[in-house]
Amino acid sequence: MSMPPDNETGALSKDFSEFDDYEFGHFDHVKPLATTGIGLSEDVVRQISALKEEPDWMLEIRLKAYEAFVKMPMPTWGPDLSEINFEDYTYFIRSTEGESDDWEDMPEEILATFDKLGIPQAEQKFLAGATAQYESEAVYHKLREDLEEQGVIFLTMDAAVKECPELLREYWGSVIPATDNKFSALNTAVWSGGSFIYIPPGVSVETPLQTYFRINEKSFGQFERTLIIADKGAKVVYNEGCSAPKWAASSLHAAVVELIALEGARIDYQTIQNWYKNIYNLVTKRAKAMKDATVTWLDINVGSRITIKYPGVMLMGEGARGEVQSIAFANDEQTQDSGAKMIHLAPRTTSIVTSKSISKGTGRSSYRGMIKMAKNAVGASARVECDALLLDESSRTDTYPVMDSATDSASIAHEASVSKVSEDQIFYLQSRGISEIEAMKMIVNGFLEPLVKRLPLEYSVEFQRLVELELEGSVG
Amino acid sequence: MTYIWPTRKEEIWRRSPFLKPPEGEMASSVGCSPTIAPDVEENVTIDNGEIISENLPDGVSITSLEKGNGKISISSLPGGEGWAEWSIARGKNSVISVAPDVVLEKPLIVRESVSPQGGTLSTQLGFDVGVNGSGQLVHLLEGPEDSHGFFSGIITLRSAEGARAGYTFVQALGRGIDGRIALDSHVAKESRLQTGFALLGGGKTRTEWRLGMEGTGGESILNGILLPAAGQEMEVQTGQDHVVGDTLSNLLVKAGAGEGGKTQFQGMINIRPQAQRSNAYQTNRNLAFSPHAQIGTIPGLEIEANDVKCSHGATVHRLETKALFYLASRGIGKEEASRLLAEGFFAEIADDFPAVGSWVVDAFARRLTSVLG
Repeated sequence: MSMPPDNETGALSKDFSEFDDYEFGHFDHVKPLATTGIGLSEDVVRQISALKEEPDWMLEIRLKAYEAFVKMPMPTWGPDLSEINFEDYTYFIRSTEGESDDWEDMPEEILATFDKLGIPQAEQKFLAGATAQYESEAVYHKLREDLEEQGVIFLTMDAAVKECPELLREYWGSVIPATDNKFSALNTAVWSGGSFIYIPPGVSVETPLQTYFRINEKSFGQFERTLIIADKGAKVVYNEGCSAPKWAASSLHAAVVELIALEGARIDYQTIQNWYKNIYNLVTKRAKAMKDATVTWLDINVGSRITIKYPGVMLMGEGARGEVQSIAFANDEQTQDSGAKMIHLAPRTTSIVTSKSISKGTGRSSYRGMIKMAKNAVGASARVECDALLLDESSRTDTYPVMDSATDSASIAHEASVSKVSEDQIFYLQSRGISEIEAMKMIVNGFLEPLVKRLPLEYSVEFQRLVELELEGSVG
Repeated sequence: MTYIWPTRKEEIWRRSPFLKPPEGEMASSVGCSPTIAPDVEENVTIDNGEIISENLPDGVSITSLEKGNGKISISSLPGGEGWAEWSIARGKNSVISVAPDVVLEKPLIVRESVSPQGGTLSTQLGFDVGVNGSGQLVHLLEGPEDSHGFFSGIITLRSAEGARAGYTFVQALGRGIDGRIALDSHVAKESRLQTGFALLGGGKTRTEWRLGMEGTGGESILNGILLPAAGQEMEVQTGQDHVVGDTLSNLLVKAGAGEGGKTQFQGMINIRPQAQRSNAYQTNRNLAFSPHAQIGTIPGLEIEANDVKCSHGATVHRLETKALFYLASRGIGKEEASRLLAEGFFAEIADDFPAVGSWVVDAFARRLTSVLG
């Protein structure tokens, strides 16, 4: 394991050395096989497409999106992104010769990293399929054979472009068009990696499929693209995780994730975002839920410098159901701007949003959400709860919930509260012989408990451990 | 003179029905006869910010800001700088002051009208309750149903140390009149300010209301009612701004939207970093009385101190069908049952309005009947 050298590029530099408790901050000396170098231009977009030997139709999609990206302004609302200079990043790095389905095939250093992250072990114990993406492309990919036999398609997006172009073209951009926002346009122009999943009608994949994203280089941009289609009555659980080394220079992560749950289908999408505190994490995630379909997003944000992410569900068919459970932990210098969007477009659709956020030190967590009831959302209902916990005097929390209703027969309820960890609580626990830090952990865990107890077991254990790590050094 | 108007890029103006006043002739309300509650005698009549008649009790004085009472100034709420300059260039201004230690038994009534000929009116009004004083002001803005025009009002309130101040705004304009009211308030140490509004008329209106918590131990309350019907669009922007700590603000805004009515509430609680031990509550409840009503609500929080108690809640519902059914089973028809339930929904606010004759209650009841269709 080695530490990254000093920042040598013009990219934004910030000293994060105080975050010594970040577990996965090591850097691998891996020589790229191919890279577009620093900078962004139409030529870089063409190079990425050429390196991937893509069909012309995909290059056309990329070029149109690039044109839109150049024209679109940076968002003027939300966290300050003015320090991002798109010219400062490398947009494509290839680390291995294609993906392998055998961990032993990959360079030792990369394998050691994924070993440390526990990915091969998790695959054996908990997963039905796994992808490991390193920089721009997958280095490992495997799906359990029995699922393959049932017709389940689980490919890297790069492979899907070549192996199932018709299916991909039918759904690509159908939930998040390239012009949705500046970062979805950027992603569409320079995307690389990500997953493509198709679950045939009636097939239920109860064991999760997972992709783990690792950024290794400094001043790098990772732009994976994920598309999941659950056909009628199908079920799938998908996990994603991420980490990056402790670079001083910032990196950019702008993913686009599209989910389509056809009639009666169910997609559960679970994320633990644990980027190092140098990453701008600007992600667009949205789902379409058709008649009687269910989509749930579990969205946990612990890492990154700034996260902007509002998973959403467009409830398109009668009886469709959407749920977002969002947990954000904003430590010193971090901004977690997360939330949820629920767009009710059909009768008797229901949605639930539960958000818990913790701000520590100078951290700022914001809930930004939207509930929309269209005219024909007859009998629809939406419930939003967001609670914030402030640990320090300099911590900050915001809530920006937008609710619009164009019908009299839908109901919307929103509740929010803000509280702090009181000295009385800490004192009481100390008087019972519990140390200050343990008392703090107990109170924070108690605040999160209603959500954490609903997480899958492996997630709740990992999440509690991450929160405890973040809390170290918070008292005294 | 050119004014800098807000743009839709500014979050608090994104959903506004207008960004600037229309160009047009100035109107005068001189000679208008009251259409609502003509039997209630006003203390002050205003025309374009100018006092045209007054009948004030002892301890209350009236002056213009040019002469100044030295305590308050016309403020411009965020994004409203152009509006403030435009208003100052057009209308005059008046400040009604309650002297320190004076306790008023009855509310002061200020009446203002938009004439049937229409046109643009512009008013700046200040209400200042001195140290340990106590006084309420009811501001009635009305206009005939068939008139057209635009109304712009800038209201500034001050509740001085230890004072008890109250301000209630009743807007009963004709549907052809659009307008904006921007209210800023300053609550000093150990004082209490109770404010309220009833938006019963107008076409497209925007109401801005800032509760400025500027002295420790200060309390500020806002209770508001909106009742938009067909063709009416009512936007309310509120700010609960805790500049200092040990302060309390409590907001309750209730809306009932009828056929084709549109309501938009956008509220923000700001707790500044130094405002520790602030308590702030914000509640927005909405009822849709028709499938063609449009309701939007954005109850926001920006909290920069940690030792605070803040909560907000917002709901959008229709009248409970179960409750309507229950009342029907007791022989009460749908129309009557709807009225009873709606009255009950608004009662906690309407009952608290100052008892100045029965006209607020009457105007409210008439309005409710019209919104319920």
